[in-house]
Amino acid sequence: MAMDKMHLEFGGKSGHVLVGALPSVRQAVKPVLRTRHGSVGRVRLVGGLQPRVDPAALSADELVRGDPELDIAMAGVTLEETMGAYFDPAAETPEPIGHFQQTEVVLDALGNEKERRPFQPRARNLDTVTPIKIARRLPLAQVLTMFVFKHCHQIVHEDSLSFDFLFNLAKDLHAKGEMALIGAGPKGAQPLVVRERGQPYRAFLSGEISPAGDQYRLLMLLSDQELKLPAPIEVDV
Amino acid sequence: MPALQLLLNGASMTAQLRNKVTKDDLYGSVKRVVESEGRLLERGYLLPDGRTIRRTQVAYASMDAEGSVAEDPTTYIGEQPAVQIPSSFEQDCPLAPVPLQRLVHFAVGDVYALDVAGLPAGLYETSFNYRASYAPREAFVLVRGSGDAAEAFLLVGDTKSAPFVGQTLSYEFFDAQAGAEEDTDPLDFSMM
Repeated sequence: MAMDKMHLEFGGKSGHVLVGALPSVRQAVKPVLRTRHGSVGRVRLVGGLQPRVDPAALSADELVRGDPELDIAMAGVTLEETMGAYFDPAAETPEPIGHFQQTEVVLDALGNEKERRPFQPRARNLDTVTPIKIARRLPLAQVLTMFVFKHCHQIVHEDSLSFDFLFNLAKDLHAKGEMALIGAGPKGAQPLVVRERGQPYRAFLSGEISPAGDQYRLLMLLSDQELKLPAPIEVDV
Repeated sequence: MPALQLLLNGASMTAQLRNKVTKDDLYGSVKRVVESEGRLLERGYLLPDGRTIRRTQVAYASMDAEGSVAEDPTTYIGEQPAVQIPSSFEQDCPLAPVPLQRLVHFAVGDVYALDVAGLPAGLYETSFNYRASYAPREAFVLVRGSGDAAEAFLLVGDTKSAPFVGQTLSYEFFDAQAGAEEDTDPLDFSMM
């Protein structure tokens, strides 16, 4: 059960509530491969090509004289326990390198480099001293047709106080037919990072009250994309 | 452009599927590089004996329980041999109008732009199989605007189970698998 705390503000009050990702309605279809000998598994192994030789660059004579493109000694070795490692691909004998710098290269939509900066992993920001705030409200139909929602999380209460808090928020959104854009930081303007080292998302709350009026559904929808087409590429004539 | 044959209330219309629209297409992307003393490093694998191998050296093989390469395996779902469902480009795609609120519980994986004429604004439920597969994905066609300003998108993903909750709460419905700038515009989606 993956549930996390969230510090949320609404109606001049703030409280800690629970938030978690939701399972799919449809059960995942899991095809399996079998032969008459039983189940078939996928095994990771070393391929047979020399990593530093480009087969397409070899001449016919070289291929007739030998097999310079093949690494017979390593071919077929199964890989069971491996660790990720960084190394210099140009080194004669590549060895793991422990001291390195990670840099982020920001590219524009055409792939041109805009900026270089040191990599800084993002910290989860749903449960900090500063509560997540409602930055603005928009009509439900406008939000659902303007943004692409990649993830759906449900916000639930922990006790009767937080039940009232969330119920009233869901009821307000439901009654007004709105969704609330929420954000982190003092003004609620910063994107949300749901997991440690995760990606930033813009988040919207959707609220609904059950037909009987005694239950609520408060969802947090995450988006990092507007629903629109890329700008046409301008060509200088 | 591949074409989809959409069916709505018995009427058939052709929709041209344009490119997939990704976040990178709209805002750009961020690539992480690893360097040491000015040299660009590559990520690979360290083996227990201390050797390193590059990612391009890794291959995969289907092997049976006896450790032999499996030849002509059959695909099963449960105990039944699986049957592939043809690509959506090779069969009609029925559409059913649904309320816009269905998008609230729908996690979108892929977005495609569609060129389709004659489909009124609204949300339509369908399924989508880019290639033949054992399980077509859930999908919606969203049409907004009208006339020359109409835009249509195919949204492919999966619907999430989101129950109402009351005073007494069971937390079992959550997915067990799931694991700045001060004055930025909250509607700035580039977030680079």
